[in-house]
Amino acid sequence: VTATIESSPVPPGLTVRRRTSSDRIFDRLSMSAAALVLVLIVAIAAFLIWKSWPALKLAGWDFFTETQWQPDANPAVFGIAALVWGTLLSAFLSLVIAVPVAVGSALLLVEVAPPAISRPVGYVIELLAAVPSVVYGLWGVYVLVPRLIPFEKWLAANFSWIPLFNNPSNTYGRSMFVAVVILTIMVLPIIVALARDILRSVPAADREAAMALGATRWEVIRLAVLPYARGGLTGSVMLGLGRALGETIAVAMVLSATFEITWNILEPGGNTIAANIATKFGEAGPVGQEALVASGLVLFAITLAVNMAARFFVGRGVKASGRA
Amino acid sequence: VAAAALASACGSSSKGSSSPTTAAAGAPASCATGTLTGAGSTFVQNLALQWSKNYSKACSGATINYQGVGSGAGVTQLTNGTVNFGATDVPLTSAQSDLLQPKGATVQVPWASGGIALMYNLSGVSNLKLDADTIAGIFAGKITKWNDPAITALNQGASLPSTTISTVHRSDSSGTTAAFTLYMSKTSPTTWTLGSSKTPTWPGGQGAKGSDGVTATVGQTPGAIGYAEVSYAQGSGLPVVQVKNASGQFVSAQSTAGVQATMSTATISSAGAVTVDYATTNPAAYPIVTATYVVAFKSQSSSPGNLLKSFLLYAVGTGQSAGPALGYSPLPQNVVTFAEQQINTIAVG
Repeated sequence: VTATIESSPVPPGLTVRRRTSSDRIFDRLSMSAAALVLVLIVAIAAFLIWKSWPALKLAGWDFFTETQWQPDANPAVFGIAALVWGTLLSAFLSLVIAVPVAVGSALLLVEVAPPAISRPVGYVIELLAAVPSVVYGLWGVYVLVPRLIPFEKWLAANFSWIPLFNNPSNTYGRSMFVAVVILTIMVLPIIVALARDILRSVPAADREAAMALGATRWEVIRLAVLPYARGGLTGSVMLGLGRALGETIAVAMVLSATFEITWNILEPGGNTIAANIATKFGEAGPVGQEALVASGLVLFAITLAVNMAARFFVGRGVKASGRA
Repeated sequence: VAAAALASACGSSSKGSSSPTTAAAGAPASCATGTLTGAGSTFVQNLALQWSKNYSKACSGATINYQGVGSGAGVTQLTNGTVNFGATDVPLTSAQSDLLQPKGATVQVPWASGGIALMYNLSGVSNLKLDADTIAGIFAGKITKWNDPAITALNQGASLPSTTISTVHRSDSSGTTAAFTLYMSKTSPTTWTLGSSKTPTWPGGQGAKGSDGVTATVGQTPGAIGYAEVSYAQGSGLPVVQVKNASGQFVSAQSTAGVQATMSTATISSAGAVTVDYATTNPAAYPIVTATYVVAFKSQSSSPGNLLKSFLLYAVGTGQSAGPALGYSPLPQNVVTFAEQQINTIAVG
């Protein structure tokens, strides 16, 4: 070892000894920083389990099947079935709208538009991500809710044969539909920004090879760009999904908060785990607080699963593109 | 910390002899110094902040912090010892008491009251009158049109449209909801069968977060009716329902005397819980009212005990006169007397 170090070109004034000790300090620091993140995650999980255990024990398996949320009533009745339903439905529907728009925008920015257009457009889209969610909530309450009512009525009048757009209550306003629209706007910039970076990472050689074979612009995108980027794009969508699942205050401000499992997103109602915690925690009694922490544990597990799935897809995408 | 350590009472916390009706607005009877922290009810927040301001102005060296984090969170913070007093919109539940008990005996004192107004959005109608059964019928989803015979019978001469009634309630857990549903469950038990709760299972209508959300939604929705504390109704400019009381009179929530008249016939349990008598025959009484409470430990060290006692005596005494401007009603004398007795059982030493 000594021989190698002596033979390595060390600049004058910088001793080998100092370099290794600073290296060691850096190693330690970066290691402890990484360990801290892990410890935090484990500590959060431990806290959630510890605080929610009494409520989980009280509710038993009903916690996963019950739709009502009356933890402070006597007897206490509460479960996360309706909340999980609302959380997944709102996040999924927002992705259904957001993904085509986001991937389309990212393709425009990277493949189609000249830099003079793509730079300012990209900047504006990133600006959407900088708007605080409470501002989206206020905008939702005062602007979106009243203005979406005519559109919701039109949907119900023409498409009520689709369960999603059926509204037997005939009341319009603070519905799951509004929450979906707000979530769409909130996840859009995240997916666009990530998708743009992924599309940019497609090697120029792939594009040029396709072009050399006489491919049109659309064929280049379809044959060279999208297959290479598929894994990364799926990962970016999953990260957008994580955002939609956990969004709290903007959703809490526009939802009517009911506890039922329904497809009818136009009627006033709907609830998500995060929104329910935000609206119920302050006034909750002892059991109510434990029950809300238990619902938080479920949300933690769902987002963890989504993020792990995103990792998996991104990893697989990288491997697949490596083969290509 | 230094200020708290130096805290001393500069006046004995004797029972205030001043009457809330004759005292100058906002002057505490005695001063103490130090720092006091409280948390809880959002209902009382505006008034508590006003009290804090008035008290610090009159007594230099006293700082009172209040955080409107919600009743449940306030009681939890008191239990954990992170605040000196907690504020709750509904009397302590047995579950909350069980957690507080091991930490020491507590006093629970009603310290503010107010009316709950019903706001509506119905163009061309400005003088709507409803009684307990129609209110319960509307919120139970049994009366669905504004020109329902039950409503037109109470509003003879008014031209009520056939618009669908859209009810607006709180989507978050709320003491205001508990008080409003208590009123319906007591005055119209056959129509409103869902009992009293901070989060009832509403049979329909729209939910909105916070009284500000309810007010905004009523304002946006033609045919809507919703409930909120009087201050929100006043701020919104929306018309409020005149509610029929037990003696057959129609009274507006904006009458502080009406709220006070109902409160004055309320009974108070030894634990400090107020029970409203909705059947009071006082013709001026506005029936939909609520009281809100402060909870503190009975055994206090001199700091901040002296300040706590002095501040609470001020709040239930002369501090009540700060209420009407903010939409609260001054507590009637019988409640004030009870509250002062209870606060004086706090042992400082």
